[in-house]
Amino acid sequence: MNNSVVFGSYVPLDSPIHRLDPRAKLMICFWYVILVFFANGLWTNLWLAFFLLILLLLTRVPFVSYWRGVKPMLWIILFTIAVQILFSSGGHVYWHWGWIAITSGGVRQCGLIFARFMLIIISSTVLTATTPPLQLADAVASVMQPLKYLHVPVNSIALMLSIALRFIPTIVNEVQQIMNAQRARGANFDTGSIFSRAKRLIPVLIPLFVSSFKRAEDLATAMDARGYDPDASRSKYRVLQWQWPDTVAAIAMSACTIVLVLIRIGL
Amino acid sequence: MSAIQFTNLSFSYQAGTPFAVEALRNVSVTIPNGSWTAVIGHTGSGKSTLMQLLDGLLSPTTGSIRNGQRQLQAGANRKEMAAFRQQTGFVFQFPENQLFAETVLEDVMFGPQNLGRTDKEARTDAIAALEMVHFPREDYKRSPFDLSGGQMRRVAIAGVLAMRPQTLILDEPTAGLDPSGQDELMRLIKTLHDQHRTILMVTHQMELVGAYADHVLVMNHGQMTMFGTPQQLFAQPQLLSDNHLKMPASVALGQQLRAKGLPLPETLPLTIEQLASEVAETLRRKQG
Repeated sequence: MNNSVVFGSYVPLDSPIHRLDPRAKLMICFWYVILVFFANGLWTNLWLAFFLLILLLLTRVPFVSYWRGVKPMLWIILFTIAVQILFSSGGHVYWHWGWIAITSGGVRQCGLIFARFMLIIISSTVLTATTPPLQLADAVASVMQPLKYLHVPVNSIALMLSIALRFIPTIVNEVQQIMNAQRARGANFDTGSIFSRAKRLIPVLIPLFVSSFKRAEDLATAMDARGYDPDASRSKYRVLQWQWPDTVAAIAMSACTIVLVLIRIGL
Repeated sequence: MSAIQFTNLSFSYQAGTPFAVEALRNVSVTIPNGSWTAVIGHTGSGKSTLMQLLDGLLSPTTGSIRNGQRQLQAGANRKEMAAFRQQTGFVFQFPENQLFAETVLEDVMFGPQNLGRTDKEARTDAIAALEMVHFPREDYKRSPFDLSGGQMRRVAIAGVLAMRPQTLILDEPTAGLDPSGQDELMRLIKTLHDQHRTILMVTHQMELVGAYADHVLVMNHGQMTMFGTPQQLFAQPQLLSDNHLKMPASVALGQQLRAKGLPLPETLPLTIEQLASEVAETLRRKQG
């Protein structure tokens, strides 16, 4: 079979950002998203956009990949800013028609929301474009470790996450195979209204469910047979190690935060 | 009625993108009408891609395919692909994975219904196909998911046969079946072949190639390395090892016997039964 299933937005390259510890990247991305909500004016947003631009250049990932991250969200963004611009009030009124009005407050609000959407989507795409999904799962699991003391089944959640990620390409492959088998039986998935198309997916979904349940059972049996115990402490094949570039990244992020706070206080 | 003709056929997955992977390069061959062709080659050699192109599930990147009166050109659109597909039936590997309907009969009717036949015609086709695979009549109303593995496979094959294809592609039809299930299935395919259908069978079992196929197409790294008869193929040990293929057990055993001094003929039989009688004949001659 062909290995043409490109999963997620990971772009395999070798850049300083790719080499960072996934935990560092996850925490930095998380912190950045918080900062985005802290930025409320033109200059603070410009500063965050500038910081993000530097990150983008450092990743060496072609900008097309980031565009692919934004594209699926485009309609939601456009819809939200359209609602904002037409229905929020306050400030100078530029134009109005009945109870719909474009005001300076609305324009401001709309610019802010647009900036937030873009910064959050692009910054999380930086994370997913430079981190293989399994490393990301490892990072999530390791960041969640403290929750163990609250009796959260961290290990089981981590396992679930990595199994889910592991089987996405398998299932994508399987969907293609089943669709081909039904196409060979004359099924047509490409034309017709949304409703009739959805109905025509039944011959794909049912076999897919059947085989997914079967596979889950097989996997559970195989794990049982090898003595899997969810509560045992386990070693790792990929050991995450914090190194000096990670410290540098954390310092850079702190510096970004300080500058942001200064801009907000100063202006 | 004419043959299946591949002309300078090439195919790349995700053609025109940086992720393009060439799966098939410049395949040109004519497969005679009514033949039983075994398609062999190791994993990733391009045989599945070739079969999917023949069924119009993919459209050629360059080159063309002719099957009977219809032709599939490079860059064909979905409508042309669907039209090209109609005369060909494709039994995928583990075809039981495509079953979905509530009853066996409904599942087999799915194909003919998609071809635009009326419910009545579809039912007639479905029953004819189920009878062809010897599926018991009293089980028509059962759920396909309650059947045994072998029965499920027969229903799935009936689902393809109900469309009355002239050309039938089978991708490793015997995979996962026990020996008696394998024999039964091969007998069924033989019946279909005797009814003048063109059969293309992807397989890894050289014994099946030797016992049933009249032509063999060898794929390696996306290219066709040989098209001929099984006798021609198995007489060339170098060609076999170059393509990571094994000899059927009868040929391997026959060669060992010959190396030990048994005067067997130059072309060795392709089934164990034939080899046994050949050995018996040789021994009798030796004694006599």
